[in-house]
Amino acid sequence: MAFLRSDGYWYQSRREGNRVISEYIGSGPFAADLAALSNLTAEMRRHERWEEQRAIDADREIDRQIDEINGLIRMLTAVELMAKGYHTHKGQWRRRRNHAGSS
Amino acid sequence: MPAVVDIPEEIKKLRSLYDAVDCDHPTKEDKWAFQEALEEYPNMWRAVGNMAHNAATNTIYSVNGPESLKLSLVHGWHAIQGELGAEDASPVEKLLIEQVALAWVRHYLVEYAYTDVMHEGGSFKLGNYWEKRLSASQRRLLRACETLARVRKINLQAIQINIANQQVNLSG
Repeated sequence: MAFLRSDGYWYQSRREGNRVISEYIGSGPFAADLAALSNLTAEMRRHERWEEQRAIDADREIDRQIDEINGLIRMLTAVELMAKGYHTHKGQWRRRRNHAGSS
Repeated sequence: MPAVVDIPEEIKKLRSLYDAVDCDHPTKEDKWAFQEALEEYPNMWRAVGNMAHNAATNTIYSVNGPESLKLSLVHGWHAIQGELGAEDASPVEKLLIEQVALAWVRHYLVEYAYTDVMHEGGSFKLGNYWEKRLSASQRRLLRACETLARVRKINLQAIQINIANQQVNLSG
């Protein structure tokens, strides 16, 4: 982000790992324009990242809903099969041998 | 943010009870409570079916795409169910068919989003995200198809049970 120091010089700060580095831009109206442009670019990039994150959050919410519904369908399928004498064995549905109505 | 699909309280209760009995040695009390909850809520099949329908609609209309895409997906959602024989299917099969259709809608839209991001030159983070979503939606679709195939292989016989003085045909 670009900023004006009390001595009238424009500086731009950027992050490198854990350090914040300030770089000299200049002074006068041209430096002020450069600083404004730099701030505008940074603001646009921030907005893009925010938009991206919003899209990702909305998308995750859709997946969460679908997984929730799939869980319910899995439960109802299991209830149905158990009521008919099936049980799971190593991930497979198998019919109990002595279940009433089994052939 | 897409609209949230509401899960009725009865289904939430049923699911937590199911989690309690879905283990090697469930307690007698849990089994009774689950049985009672099942009897209290005989229309859960339709309720979950409606939720799947709402989720599909939300998924389709949440996408930032042309109206033609949304309309063709709505058509596809119904067409897939017809092709998989939803009309003559038992309630459990019908639900599984809806699951396949929902997974198909999701996969189609993720593919669309992925292509769009790649075409627009989106960030590495976004590209990476959609690539993972693409694999996940593909897995979900395959799993839904496998479950439907397994249940069909078992070839369930029709049974009738009386739940809360209502005759319910569970499959047929």
